Amino acid sequence: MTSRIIKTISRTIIPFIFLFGAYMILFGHISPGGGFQGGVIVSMGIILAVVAYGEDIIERYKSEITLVEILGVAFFIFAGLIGIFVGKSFFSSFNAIWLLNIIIGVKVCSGIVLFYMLFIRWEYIDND
Amino acid sequence: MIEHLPVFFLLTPLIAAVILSITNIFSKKEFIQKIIAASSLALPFYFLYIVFQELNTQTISYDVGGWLKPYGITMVIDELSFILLLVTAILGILTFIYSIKYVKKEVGKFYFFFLLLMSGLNGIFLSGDIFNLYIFFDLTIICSFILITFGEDRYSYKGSIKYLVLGTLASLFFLLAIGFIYAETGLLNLEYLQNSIPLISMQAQIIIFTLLLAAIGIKSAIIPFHTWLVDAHSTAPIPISALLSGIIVKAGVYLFLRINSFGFDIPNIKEVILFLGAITAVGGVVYALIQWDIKKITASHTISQIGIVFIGIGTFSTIGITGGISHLVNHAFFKALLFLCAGAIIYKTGNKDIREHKIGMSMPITLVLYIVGILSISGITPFNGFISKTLIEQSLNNYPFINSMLIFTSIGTVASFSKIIYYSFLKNREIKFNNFKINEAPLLFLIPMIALAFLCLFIGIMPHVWLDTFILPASYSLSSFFSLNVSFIQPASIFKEWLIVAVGILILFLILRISSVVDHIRDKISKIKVNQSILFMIITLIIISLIFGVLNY
Amino acid sequence: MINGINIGIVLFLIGLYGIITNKNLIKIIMSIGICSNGIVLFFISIGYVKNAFSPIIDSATTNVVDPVPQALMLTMIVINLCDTAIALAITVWIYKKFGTINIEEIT
Repeated sequence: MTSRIIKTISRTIIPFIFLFGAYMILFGHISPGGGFQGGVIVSMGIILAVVAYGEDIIERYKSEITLVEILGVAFFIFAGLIGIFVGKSFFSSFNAIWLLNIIIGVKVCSGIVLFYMLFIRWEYIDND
Repeated sequence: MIEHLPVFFLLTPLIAAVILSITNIFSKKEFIQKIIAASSLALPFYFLYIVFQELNTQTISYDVGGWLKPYGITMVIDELSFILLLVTAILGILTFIYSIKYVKKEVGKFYFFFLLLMSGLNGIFLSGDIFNLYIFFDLTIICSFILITFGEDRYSYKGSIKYLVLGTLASLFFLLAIGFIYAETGLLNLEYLQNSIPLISMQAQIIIFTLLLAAIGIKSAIIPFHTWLVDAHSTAPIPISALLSGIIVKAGVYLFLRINSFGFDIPNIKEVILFLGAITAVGGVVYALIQWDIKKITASHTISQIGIVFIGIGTFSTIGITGGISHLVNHAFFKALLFLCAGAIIYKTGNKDIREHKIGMSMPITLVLYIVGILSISGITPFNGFISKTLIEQSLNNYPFINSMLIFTSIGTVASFSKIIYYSFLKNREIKFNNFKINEAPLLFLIPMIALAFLCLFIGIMPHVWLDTFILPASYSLSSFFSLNVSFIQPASIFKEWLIVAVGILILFLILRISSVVDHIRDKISKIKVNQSILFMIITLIIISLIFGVLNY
Repeated sequence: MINGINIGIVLFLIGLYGIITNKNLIKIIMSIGICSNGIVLFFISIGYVKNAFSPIIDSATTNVVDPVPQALMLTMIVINLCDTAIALAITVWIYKKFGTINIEEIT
């Protein structure tokens, strides 16, 4: 159900959506935004591309996206455990909130793209 | 390393879940997944041993992120959360052993959500902030929605959607109560709130308590709020049913115990909670007497036993609170035993209706273990139900009406479980003298059942050891110091028990005569829709807040 | 009279009315979303201080609006997203198995 108008417009707009999402992720500690909100906006850009051009451009990357999502959780827990290894409490701050924001942003983006792929296909992924 | 222990309780199942899903992408062998899950469920026992030795001197408290007490998140282990963490660890590993043989398809996803559920349960009992409690409640409830849908084919979705609508509503009520607490006091820490709630105005206290009662009532299935429980617990897979009825329903009662220590001084709290507890106890048993499905009967008895716990806690005396907490723990053990035995019976006969079982003596070990479970839930002497029921009955000296409701509940419990024994095991049995074969449940089913039965027997035989070590320190942290000198073996109470058993069997024969009326009632009750039940719930809340007197201030 | 706290509670009650009287499952899930948006509005307007600045460390350090409810609400919005996603997934499965999403015919 894609027409020529949607394809042309989305080719123009999608880079700006990515730029705005990256701005919201990186400046999360100064302006409203942060990891979760920026991640949702970046995923909206990818979903617009999938709507305009068909599912086949994302279909073959399903297992990679799942791996990125799980690794996001692993890195986040690891970032929390660094505080224990240093000697202070869990999630003790190390003045780098932007790193946590980026990890969360990547994870949320891959998660929502997976939601979309599963909902329009009505079946489960083979690997977890 | 000792001071980081609360975080390790929380992280161990979570890290195992992440490792399990990473290995699930690369290779699909089930053996590696089972090894990872089993080792992460056995590790908390070592942590609990360290905590137990540390708890003799002080309560363990941990500030996440290094932020000081009223500004940051804290995790607290005191005696009440210690006993519930112990029960969670025991039930977790026993249901995991049961589920090795039970779960056939999509094994990787099942273990992933199972470990996440364990992590959420540990988080509930570890949190020292009221908003942290909300976060882990939601994590637990979301994982249990997904795990319920792994059950039987169509009806598990029906149970899951009912639980979803009502559980989300409970979380929203809880959040609104947190909002009012923060607006009035400005604090979120449980320890700091103990001293500052009695200072706010009475009208605000009544609104906060009513909203919290709504959230607690939905989560632990008190009678106007109970409509999700029978469908959700009876259509889940058996190990998840045992966990749900064993420990997730208790999370609501744990929330009530924490709120109890805030010190709301609203008049008439005792009478309202005793009345709700008594109605729940009787209503659960009446609901169980009209069913023929073995999982639904066991799930309805959960409602009535939680009613008994609320009767115990509602007296606000030390004996009552001790009886209530010990009945929580005992109920986890014998309800899990009943569910696992029912699962073994369904596995061998393939049918849930108890009129079709026709087992006879071909499963002797299951029969013995099931009788142990039934004697525990009815409160017969050498098993653990007797301990907690004696404590609760002794705290009810001023309320003879509630005492008679309790006796009626015991009679109904005996009647309903003797119905199961009669129809499943004794009626239409096929014993031929020449080809008498034993068709017992597989070994991986029997191991957790034998462990739970042994625990029931051990707690019942030596009550004072168990009470003094675990349960009494938990209730000291909630009420004043009191030394318990209750003697459990008295001839008068043993005579009363066997009298209850006799009357129960008589009532069973009476009910079996009027079976057409029973079928009619069951059809009527199963037609109550979700929307009507939510409306009824809200009308009850408005009536309770008017009883407390919200318009007088 | 019309401030954030009152409108938040009114939205919560409207969502509650929606859960009680709707029969379509998707409308019930949308009403749960309206309830949670009402609670978000209620929480954020609790921390309002008159003539104060936003709680960002580069613009002001004293006389700021309370930042604690804002942090709590970020977490709550994420949890509500997960809840809605699972509810919609279960709705898709119910439609496959039962053929209808009318809650009176399912239960």
